[in-house]
Amino acid sequence: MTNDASTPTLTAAPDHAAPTLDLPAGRRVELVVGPGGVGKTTVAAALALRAAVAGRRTVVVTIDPSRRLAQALGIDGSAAPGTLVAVHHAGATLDCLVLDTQHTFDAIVRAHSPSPQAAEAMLVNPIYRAMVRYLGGALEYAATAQVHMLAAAGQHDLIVLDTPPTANAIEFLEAPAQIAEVANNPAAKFLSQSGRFGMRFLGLGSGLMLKALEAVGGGAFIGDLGRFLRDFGQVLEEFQRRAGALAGMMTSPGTGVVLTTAATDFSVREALAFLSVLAERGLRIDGVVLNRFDAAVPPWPGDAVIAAALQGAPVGLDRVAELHGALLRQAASALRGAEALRGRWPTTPVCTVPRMDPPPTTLAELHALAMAVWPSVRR
Amino acid sequence: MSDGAAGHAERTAVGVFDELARRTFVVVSGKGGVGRTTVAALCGLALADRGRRVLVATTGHDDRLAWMLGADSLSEVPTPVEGGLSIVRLSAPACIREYGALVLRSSRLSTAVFDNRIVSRLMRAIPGLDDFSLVGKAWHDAFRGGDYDTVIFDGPATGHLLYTLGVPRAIRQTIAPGPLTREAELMCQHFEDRTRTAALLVGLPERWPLTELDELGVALGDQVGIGVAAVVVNGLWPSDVARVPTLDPDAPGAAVLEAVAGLAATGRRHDRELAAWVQGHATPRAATLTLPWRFDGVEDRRALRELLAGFAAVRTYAEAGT
Repeated sequence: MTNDASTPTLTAAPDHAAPTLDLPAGRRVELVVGPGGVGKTTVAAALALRAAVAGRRTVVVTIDPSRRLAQALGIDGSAAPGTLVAVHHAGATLDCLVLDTQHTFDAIVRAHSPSPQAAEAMLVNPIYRAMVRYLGGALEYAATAQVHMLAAAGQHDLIVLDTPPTANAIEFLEAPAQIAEVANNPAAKFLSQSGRFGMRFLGLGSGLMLKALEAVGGGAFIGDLGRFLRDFGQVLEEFQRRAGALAGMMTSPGTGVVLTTAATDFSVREALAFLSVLAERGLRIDGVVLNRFDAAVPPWPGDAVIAAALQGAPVGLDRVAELHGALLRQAASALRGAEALRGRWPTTPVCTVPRMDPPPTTLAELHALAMAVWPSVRR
Repeated sequence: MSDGAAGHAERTAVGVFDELARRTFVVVSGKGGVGRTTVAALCGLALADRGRRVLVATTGHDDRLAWMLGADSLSEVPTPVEGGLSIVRLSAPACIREYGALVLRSSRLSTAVFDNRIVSRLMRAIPGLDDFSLVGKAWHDAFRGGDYDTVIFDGPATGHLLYTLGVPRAIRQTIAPGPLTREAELMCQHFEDRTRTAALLVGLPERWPLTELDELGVALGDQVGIGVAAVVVNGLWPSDVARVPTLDPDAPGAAVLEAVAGLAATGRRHDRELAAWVQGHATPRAATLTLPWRFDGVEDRRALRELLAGFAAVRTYAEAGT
């Protein structure tokens, strides 16, 4: 990789090619994805507000929003978990919801257990309580299921999901299938019925198998786990039978993706990996928001000019030159990021957004950001 | 206040790392994107510089820890990178297999059992097992393995960290006594021992996120018994440039001075946010260190060394009052 940043003559130009993004009319679900700490939740809230102002009945599902953003969205802890909170801006209404894994799974269990008694038994099962908190992929499953439930309720034209801070796109996309697979575990059937007898069918000597399992969890725990998995598998199966395959929703024409990333070398590298996976899986990428893009740095007019301007000021020429150089290198890195994204994905619009310091938190600030990224959203 | 001169000496960056060098297990955490891995790598270098054999163990999926320390990629096998410093990636399947080998006293048997397709699916259905295996592996290397004096655990982000570190307690509380509960009990004891385990929390210079970080610190103490050794406020922009002259917009050099003034304004805002957060504390608490923003990113070992020299300590409200 060339490093133009070290060339003293470099001057960074503003991003003239900056396109804006579109929100296609047929979208019912928009996933906002990207690496952690790049402003994903802010972008999701801005997009949702924009759609609401454009006249679409919109709900935004967020995960762990910063406190100031949560306050702006009316979801700073005063609302009961899993409930919609309506906020109003410019005559429009936006529904907001903080994802609550426990609440989402409880709703699935209540709606899809064979009987109310079975549901109650499941809800107090310690393995179930632990699973909701501790099973890898449970948060991602709950996020996807929550979108499904909102879609099934039919109260909204658009559902914007601020995706969990999953390490990578594959993890998020595969979590629903993984949880379903875990619940429909073939081992669970044997374990729930006949302990030692069933073990032989697992392709291992029962002694060794039991020794290993008992080492991990103790014999009674494994039996309890088997019974839990059998019942929970039935609940999830029923949920997915009625909702349709969760994975299918991701690739349906009604679902689009907005990737958010910061304009640093490292974040862009991660974003490129995200995009490859999303495209491979057949998701529709509606655009990239390249955040904290500070590429417009004026050229150095010469030492003499700056020295003259600084006459009598409490700051020296050297320090100003040093800081200007730092800004130029940062700008070069931002431009490299934009070039890398556009070079690899020439037909995907990459909208650049300058660093906002402090980040937007009021509804008016969020709407201003959204107008810059999505200037024309149709109803 | 009672937190006198000796207390203050430990609150400089050097003092904090001297202090951490006496620990066996250091947990690094904070929200996504705040620089956890960078701080874990810096802590690793600082402790290795003090002659410690250090392992930085990350649960992150990318290779950035390796890149910044001059290695090509991050492996599931500990790899020495510099002096006494090694790095490793913790992945749940590898950790479970290794744990099985310890329990069954045979890595051949463990591989036979845990690589069995049906068994591995069953393992994935045990809530908390993935997290337990990651923490358990880091804990084992720290307290039992003997290869390292200190293990730095670059764990998951804020929310998930409490779950991950909470699994041993959950096991202790919910599972019938057995080999697993004995391990979990020991882990809890080691985590709660403030002379052996400490946390290093990382945040950006904004008041409310830092307040949320305080809450994480309190929760770490309450829920898993781990004490916070220091808070690292990362990414402060330079604020030393005061009163840059404002020129006529058409004057030569006006645009450059405006850009530099804007940068300095951000730096001063960071200072204000940090000060507001520090003054919000009425009682003495963990040391606060700052790291400057790096406009060039942190991509290699040279950058890491420069950053290590850039650590500064913040006098807390309690100290300023003495």
